[in-house]
Amino acid sequence: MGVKKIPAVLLVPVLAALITLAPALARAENLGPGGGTRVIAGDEAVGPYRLFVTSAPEPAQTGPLTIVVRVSDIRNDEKVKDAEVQIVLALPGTGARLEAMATHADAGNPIDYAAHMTITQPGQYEGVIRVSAGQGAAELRFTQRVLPPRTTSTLLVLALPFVAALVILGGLWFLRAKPRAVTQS
Amino acid sequence: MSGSRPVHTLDLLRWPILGRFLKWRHARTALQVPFLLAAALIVFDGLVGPQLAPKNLATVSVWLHYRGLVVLALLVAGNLFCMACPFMLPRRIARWLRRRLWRDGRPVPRIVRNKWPAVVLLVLFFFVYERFSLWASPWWTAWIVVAYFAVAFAVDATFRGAAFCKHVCPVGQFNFFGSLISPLEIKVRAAARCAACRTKDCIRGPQGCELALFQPAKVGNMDCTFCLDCIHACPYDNIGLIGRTPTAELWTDPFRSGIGRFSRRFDLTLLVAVLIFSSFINAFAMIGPVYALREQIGRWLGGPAPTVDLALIFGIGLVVLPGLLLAAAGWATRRSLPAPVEPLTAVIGRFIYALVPLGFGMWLAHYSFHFLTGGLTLVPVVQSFAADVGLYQGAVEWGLGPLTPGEWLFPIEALCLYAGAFGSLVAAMQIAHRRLAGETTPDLAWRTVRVAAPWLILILALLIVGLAILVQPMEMRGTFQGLSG
Repeated sequence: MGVKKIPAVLLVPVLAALITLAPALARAENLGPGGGTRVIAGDEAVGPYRLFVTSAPEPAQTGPLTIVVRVSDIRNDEKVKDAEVQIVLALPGTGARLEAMATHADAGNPIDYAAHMTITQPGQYEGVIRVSAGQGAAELRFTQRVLPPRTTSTLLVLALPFVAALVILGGLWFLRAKPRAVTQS
Repeated sequence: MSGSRPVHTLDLLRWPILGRFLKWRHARTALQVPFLLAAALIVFDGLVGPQLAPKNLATVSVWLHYRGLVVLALLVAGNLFCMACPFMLPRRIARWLRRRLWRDGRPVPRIVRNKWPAVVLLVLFFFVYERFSLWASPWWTAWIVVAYFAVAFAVDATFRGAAFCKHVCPVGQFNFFGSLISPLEIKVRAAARCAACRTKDCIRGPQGCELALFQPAKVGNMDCTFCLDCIHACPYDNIGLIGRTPTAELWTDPFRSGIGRFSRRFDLTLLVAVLIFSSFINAFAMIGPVYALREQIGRWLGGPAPTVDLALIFGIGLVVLPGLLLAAAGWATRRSLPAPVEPLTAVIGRFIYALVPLGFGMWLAHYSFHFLTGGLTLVPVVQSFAADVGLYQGAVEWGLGPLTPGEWLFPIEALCLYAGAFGSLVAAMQIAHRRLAGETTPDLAWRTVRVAAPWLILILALLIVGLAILVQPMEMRGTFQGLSG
C-alpha cells in the first residue's frame, strides 16, 4: 500500500498562508511612506543629533496634526531614547501658538517621539523642534502649512457638471425610449 | 478581405512607433526587464536598507508609486502593468522545468479552476495589510515581492497554462477588475477573417493564449494580461489594441471566451464585490473615525484587541453589509423583472457590474491621493539609496514630495469619485435597459428606471459614503491616538 499523494490543490492554501500569515511578525513602524506623510527633515544633522522628522496628515489641514521625531546620535547613529523633545508651532501675526512635548507613548514605540496637536487656524506656521539629552541641546526650525478643512460646498460645486450631464442624458434617453421598443444589443 | 475590415479609429498597433514596438517579438520582455531590475532593487533595499518607511525604496515605490501608476494606467489605457509584469519572467524557467518534470505540467485542479483562490488571497491580503501595517515595513514589503516571485514560479512550474495569473495573483485580479473600465482592449480587427481561419493559432498555436481567451469569442478585458501573445500568434495580423467606450463592456452579458457569462460566475461576482467594497474599507482605514471605532470596540472587548477589532470591521464592512445591500438590491430588482426571472445570485451577478466604475473611482481617488502627495519622494529616496551604496555624494532633497498643490487634492479625489458614480449610474440603466429587451409596453422608460432603481440608490448611498471618507484628513496610520497614550 503506497503512501497517498498529497493533492496538488493543497498547494494554493499553503502558499496563501505563507504569504499572508507570515507578516504577523512584521516590525511595523509609525512612519508611513510619503503620501499622507511629509518628511520635514531627513536625517538632518542638528547639533549633536541627527533628526528625522515627519508630519501627518499631508497635506495638513485644521484639526489633528501629528509630528514624529526620531533622534540619533550624530557620532554613531545610535537612537537616542531618553531625550526631551519639545515642539512649538506659531502662526506669525496672529498670536496663535501651540506647544507640546513629543513622547514615546504618543508614538506607540520606544524609539520615536510623537506629539499630537490640534490646529484650529489655517496658515503658514513657523515651527521649532527642541531636543535635549545627555549629548546636549539642539534646535530645528521648519515651516508647516495648514490648509482650511475640506468642505461640502466644494463637493456640491464639483457635482454640478455631473448632475447636468445626468439630466441631459436622462432626458434624451426618455425621449428616445418612448416611441420604440428596446432591441437586444 | 481588406474590404471587409472595419476601420477602428484607435488601434495602437497601427501607430507608427508604438505599434512597431508592441508588435516586436521581444516587446514584453523589454518592458519586463526594467521592472525586474526595479524589483531587485526593492528587495535589496527592503532587506538591507534603512527600516524607516519614508526612506526606503521598497515601501515608497511599492505602496506609493506602483499603486498610483497602476490605477492611472488602467484609467487612461489598460492592463499595462500585467503586460510588464516581472513575476512572469522566471516563468520561462518554470515552464522549462515543468516540461522536464511533468512533460507539460498538470492541469489546474477543477476545484480551483476559478477565482476562489484569488478572492481568499485578496481578503487575507487586505486584512494583513491593515493589521500589520505592511506599508510601513520595508522588510516585509521586500518579502512580499520575493513571495510573489516564488509563488508564481511554483504554481507555473506545476500547472499548465497561466494558472498563477488566472486563478491566484491578487494584483492581477485587481488589474482585471480595473481594466473593465479601461479605454483599450485587445480584440480582433475583422471578425470575417477569423471565421475563415482554419488554424486558430491564437488559441491552439505555440503562442496561443494561455488564459484560454479565444480571440473571436473574447469579450472585454477580464482575464486579459495584455501579454500580446495572440498578436504574435495570429498569422493574419488581425488582432489590434483597439479603443472602445470605457465601461461599455459592463452593460452586456454575452458569453465570453475563457470566462462564460458574468452573471453565471458566482466566484467572479464575489471577486468584484470584494474589490468594490474593499475600496471603501481600505480608504476608511486611513481616516480618524476608524481609530475611534477601534478604540470603542476595544472598550467593549475589555482592552485593545487589534486583530479582533479589525476582523469585526472587515467582517461587517466586507461581508455582512455588502451581503445585505447586494441581496436587498437584487431582491428588489428581481421583483420588478418580467418572467422568466433568474435566480437572485444571477440578478446580483448581472447588476453588480454597475458598481465597478464607482469602486474603481474610489481606488483611483485613494491611490492618486497618495501618488500626488508623494510622487516626488522617489527622488530623495533614490538619492538616499544611492548615497547608502556610495553612488551619490550630494544632498538628499527631502523637501520634495507633492506633485500638485495641496488645495488641488480634494477636488481631484472628488472628481474621481463623481466620475465613477456617473459611470455606475449609466451602467445600471444600461444593464436594466438590456434586461428588458423585447418589451414593448408604453411605460418602458419608467419600467427600466424601476428595475435599475435599487442599484441607483445603492450607487448614490456608496457615493455619499465615499465622499464622507474623502472629506476627512488622512491620519498617520499606525499611530493610535488615545490607545497609546
